[in-house]
Amino acid sequence: MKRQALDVPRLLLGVSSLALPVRATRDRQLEVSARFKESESLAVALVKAVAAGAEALVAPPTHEIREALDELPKDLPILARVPHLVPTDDLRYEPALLFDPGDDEDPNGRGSKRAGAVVKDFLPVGVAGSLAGRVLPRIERETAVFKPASVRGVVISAAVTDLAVAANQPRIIERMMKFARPRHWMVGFETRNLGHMLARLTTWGTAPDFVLGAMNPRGVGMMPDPDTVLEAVGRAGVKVIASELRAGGMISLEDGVAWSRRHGAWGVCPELVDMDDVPKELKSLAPLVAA
Amino acid sequence: MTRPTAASAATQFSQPAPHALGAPAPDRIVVAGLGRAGLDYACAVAFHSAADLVGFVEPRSDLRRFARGAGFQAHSEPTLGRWLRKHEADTLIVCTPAAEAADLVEEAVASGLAVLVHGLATMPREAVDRIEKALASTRKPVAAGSPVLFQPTFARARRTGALSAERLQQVRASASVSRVFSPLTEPGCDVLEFLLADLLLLLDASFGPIGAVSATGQKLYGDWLDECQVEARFANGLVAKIEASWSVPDYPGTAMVIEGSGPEGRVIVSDDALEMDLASMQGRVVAASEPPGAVSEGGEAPGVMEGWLKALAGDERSAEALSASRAVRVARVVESVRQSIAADGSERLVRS
Repeated sequence: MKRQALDVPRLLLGVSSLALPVRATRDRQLEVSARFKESESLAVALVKAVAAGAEALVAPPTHEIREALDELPKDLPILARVPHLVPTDDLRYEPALLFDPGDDEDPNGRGSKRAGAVVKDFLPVGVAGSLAGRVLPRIERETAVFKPASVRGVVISAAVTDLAVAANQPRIIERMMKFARPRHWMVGFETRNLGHMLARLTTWGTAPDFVLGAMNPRGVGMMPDPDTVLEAVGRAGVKVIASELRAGGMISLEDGVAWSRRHGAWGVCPELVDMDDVPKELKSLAPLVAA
Repeated sequence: MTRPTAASAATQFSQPAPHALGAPAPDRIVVAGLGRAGLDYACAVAFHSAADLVGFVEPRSDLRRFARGAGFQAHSEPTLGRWLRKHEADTLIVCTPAAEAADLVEEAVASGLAVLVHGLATMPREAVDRIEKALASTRKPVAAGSPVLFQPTFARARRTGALSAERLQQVRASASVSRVFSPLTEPGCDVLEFLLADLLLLLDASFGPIGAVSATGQKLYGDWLDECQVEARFANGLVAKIEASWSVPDYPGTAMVIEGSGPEGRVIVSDDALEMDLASMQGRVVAASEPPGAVSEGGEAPGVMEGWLKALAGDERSAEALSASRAVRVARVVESVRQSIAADGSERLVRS
């Protein structure tokens, strides 16, 4: 059966806060991480989130998330947040993207390096040494952690996006899009520097399916500054999915969602750490997202 | 040998570089060392309109290739000498391992460049001594970059005086993170270098120099120190109890806490919030409510980079946060902590 290209969702649920430091208090992170320690608890939360209106889950390819998804008899729509860089990478002197953890993995495991090797063989020589050449095999391998039927696309993590934006390198964006199209995947780019990113995209004349970045009424994480970000969102012509909606816990999720939609965000991506009752709160966001 | 003091570091910043005299020319910056920190600095410079990334110095060809592959067009060379023969710059940011840092700093100073050294407080004695001597010999701006000194809640606690020797008589401090369980942990790095040095920088910035330490440490998971407990005696008589551990599960990011009490009341400051219950200061400030200290996010460099550029423009607070003399002092405190641990906790004076 031929897969159809999907519309960019309006309501996503981010589950990165289980594995990565986020802008929330440590107590809150520990509480959420403890709540979803058991894969069954996480599985229930995820399936209820989708039932409550989340159109896709933005999920890093971690063992914990895969275990939770494996608990479920049905596939949930996934946007794989890749490549997955872990906090302990800071023990290295070298940049984390210089290495491919697939080198050390079981060659027979799901998502093993074998998957990544396929794409590497087809890369043009000029691309093989580029950032795209480095990360595409890893992206393919890490995305293979999820069941193919559940993968709706990829969200390229900020570590790659922001490096490309800083280096003024449009080719990686173009390469990712070329890589994803035959697979009928959406391609979004996570960034910690939304204003800079949108300005670059305008200059480059490139438009990925969406960009995921901080938008909230307090301006937390809106780089280089809130005014520039809002101006860029209004002008860029790229769909922006707003994250950091609670401004580090300073405002309610509803206020963050309503504000970001009013200020030009195409959709929103609250994180697990932003909510106490995931299905209930997601359901309450639906009218704000539709407005 | 003249040791640069905090005051002299600020003075060096008060010698304005040509570009800081109201002229729009950005600071032309070369980054030496294209490891993780070096790339962070490269990105922070690239995002900043007051700085211009003009080159890289990196002896390793794989790291030069990586930066080029990422798209950076700035010219790179394996040595600073080769780079300077072809190009001009104002500032060198040194992000190399300690073994290469001293040579680079000496060469940069001899070439008349301003110098920002990343990670100076964690470097070993020989490198620190050479860098200190080189930095003391120039009148160009010099600095030591430590992201922790730009963390918003701790910066506010220092700025308001809530965290100061005048208000607090008893101080406890802790730093926790989960790292030792990583397969990347290996001999050559330990909790003192990875974690304690940053906490000591915050304590020095808040309460002044530490004069003596007694310390114990534990090697729990390998041939390196995983936890340490330090009693630090400051030059002003204040005593602080300090703990650092990189074996705390479920702490992907570093958590630092400094709490103190005195006649006026109590203060707790962490990465999350500053809580003040003092006669003259009350309230709670969360990290997210503080204004951003940079024009970009990502990695360790944006706050330091912003501080550097503000210091060049004459901002004394930024210059103070970048004090090279503080980083040198803290490197020596870490050295004394190691000696005390090796001597079963007996007190060691900090070399001045």
